[in-house]
Amino acid sequence: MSKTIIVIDDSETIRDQVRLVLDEAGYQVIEAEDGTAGAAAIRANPDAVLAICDVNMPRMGGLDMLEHLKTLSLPRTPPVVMLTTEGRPDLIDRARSAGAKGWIVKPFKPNMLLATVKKIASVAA
Amino acid sequence: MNAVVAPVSRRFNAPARRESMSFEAVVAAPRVLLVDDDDGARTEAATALRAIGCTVVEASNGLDGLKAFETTRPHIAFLEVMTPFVDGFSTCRAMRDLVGGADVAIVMMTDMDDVESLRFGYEAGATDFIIKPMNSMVLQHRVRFMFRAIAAAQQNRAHELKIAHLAYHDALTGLPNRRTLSEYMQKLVVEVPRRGAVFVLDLDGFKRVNDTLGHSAGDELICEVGRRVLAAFGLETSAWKRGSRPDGQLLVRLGGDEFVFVDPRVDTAAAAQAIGERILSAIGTVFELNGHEVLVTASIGIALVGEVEGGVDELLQCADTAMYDAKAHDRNNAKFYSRALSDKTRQQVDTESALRHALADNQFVLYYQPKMSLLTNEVVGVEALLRWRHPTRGIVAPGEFIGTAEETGLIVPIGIWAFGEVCRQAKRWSERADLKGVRIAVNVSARQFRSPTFLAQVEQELLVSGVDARLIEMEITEGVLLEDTKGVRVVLDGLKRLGLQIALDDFGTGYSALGYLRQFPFDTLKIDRSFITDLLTDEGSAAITSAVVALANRLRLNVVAEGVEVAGQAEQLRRLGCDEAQGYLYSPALPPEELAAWASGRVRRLDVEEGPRRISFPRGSAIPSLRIHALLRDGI
Repeated sequence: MSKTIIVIDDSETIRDQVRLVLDEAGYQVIEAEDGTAGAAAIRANPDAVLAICDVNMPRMGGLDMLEHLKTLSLPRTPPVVMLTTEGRPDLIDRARSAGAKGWIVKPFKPNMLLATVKKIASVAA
Repeated sequence: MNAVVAPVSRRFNAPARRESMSFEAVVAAPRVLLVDDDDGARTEAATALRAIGCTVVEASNGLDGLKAFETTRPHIAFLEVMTPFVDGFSTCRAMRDLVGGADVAIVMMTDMDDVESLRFGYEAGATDFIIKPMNSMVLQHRVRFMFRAIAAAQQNRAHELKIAHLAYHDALTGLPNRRTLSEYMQKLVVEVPRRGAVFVLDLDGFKRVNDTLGHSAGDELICEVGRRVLAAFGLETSAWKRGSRPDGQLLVRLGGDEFVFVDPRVDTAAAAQAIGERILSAIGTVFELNGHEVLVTASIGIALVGEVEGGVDELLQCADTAMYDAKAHDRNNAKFYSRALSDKTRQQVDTESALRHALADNQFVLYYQPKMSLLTNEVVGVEALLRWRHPTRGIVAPGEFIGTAEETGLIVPIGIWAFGEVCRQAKRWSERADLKGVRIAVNVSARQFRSPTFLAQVEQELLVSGVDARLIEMEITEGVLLEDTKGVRVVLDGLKRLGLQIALDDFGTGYSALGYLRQFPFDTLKIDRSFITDLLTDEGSAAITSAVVALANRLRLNVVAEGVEVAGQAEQLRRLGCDEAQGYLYSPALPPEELAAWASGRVRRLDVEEGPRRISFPRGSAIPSLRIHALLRDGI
């Protein structure tokens, strides 16, 4: 069974870039274009090894999505890593409190992303 | 993850303290941030850096590192590449975006084998990298080198700030300058449309203060005017922060004696008038300059933002036009812009460009006004007066162009031309039996007098014309004397050596100091026309005239009264012992041919070979001037 990673970002370009890296590393990628779709994808794929999520998105942002998921007290959710241009400590703090496992400031390097993904995904698996 | 290898302790050399390194002289309170989740390596590095006087803040992950950055604002941040939750590169990028983050030196800490991360670090905005495990002493030295660079950068930054300040402020007064005004006005017209008023203020008689009391007094006057206007409105020197909304009033110095005041709230003429009067009364009291009490007034031009079509430039131009109108009226007042004013100032601009061609096109001419002996009623000399034969405007009086000529510096070549022309004219007349011995007086401006080539040019003109220098008299005003006493003395002595006569013009109107009369080698004193005008009606003028004549006689100076218009004045002057007079009573200034015709037969017969007579008495001896005249007349 191939390992699944959910990529949540309103930018199609970013989703493509991330998928390219993950495809090559043998992951199966599910895409979502905002927090609402992301939350649905996470609930539908509780066994995914990881979710990579943007912060600023229309309708529902990444942090709101995390906080929303937390209130649901789901039995099992994949770990979430934020991938964003934001770097303000208060936002990073909010993500950590809401249960995020990492924060990567864009633009990302494939190897760095992969290193982080592997580290967190292996812990989750 | 890349676990940090704990430092190998044997690599550490003797205690760093022995180095007695310190940053005090380079950077005050050097601060370093260390972000590393390897507690051992971090503690070692922190200890080494504290040993050389750094304040060290430690964090074990990127998020805490960012928070620590915000609270401590370190000069240098060391970031481990692989830190939990937020990696080093992300921390680096995030840090650069924080307030002050552009200035911090960021050093990525990476393993020897992780060459790729060097590239990532550079792209994330790091300043430098250091390979782990770190040697404490190398780290200490590295940091010392870095602080030297930081100190240099800080100094550059301080200079940049100063330069930026100077770009937007006036160096003399510290007030905002034209550039600030321009930005402020751009914002004003956009953000507060159709409200506000612009006041252009210009000091009356500032040039006179500069000319008579010197430039340092002029500078002091400018500063004090600035302070007074600020105080009148309770303003700070730099009341407006660039880029912010122009809510408050602003005082700007444009240069010279010109200021601009802007009030963004004023929207009626009455309110603007009140502000204008407040400015005038703030300026219009006595100034103490170099121990002199000086009364200075200002002329203000007002333009209401709501009433001027166009942008910032038009507004300022309108206020400027109104200011010239205020000057043309009684001065010391405030005038509003109106369309009719525009046409008038255009003429001034025309004057300037036309003036530039006038000299080359031979448009200047000299008119001559006779000077009469009050005793014999004979012509003893003439004063040469400049006229401009304008191709379309006809004969233009000096009052309409001398100011512009002085401002543009054109007065210098015009003055030399006038002197040369006087020499040639004097030579021609000296060869005529009926005009022999007639002296010609010519005015010299302060600016011309200060020109370094002045003496040489005078000598040249005398030589070329072949005139007897004793026939030429130079009239200078008090303004010439005060600037640089020693230099003035040298030039005056030089003129005397060439054989020229020297007259002090407009005596009694400037910041007269009687000491000058003794200090400089004058031959003649000219009483200002204002005293003569009131001679018969005002006791004060009569008293001053009488005293000046007596003073001149005692100092054995020839004394000439200007502006004599009626016989009663001439008679009074003669009784007081005044030697000579000129004015409409005798003749207006005339073109040379007309003057020659008028003067022919009225000229005192004097042997030109002997030059103008001067009889020497011991200093201080009381010889009444009437006797001197009597002696002269008798041909002794």
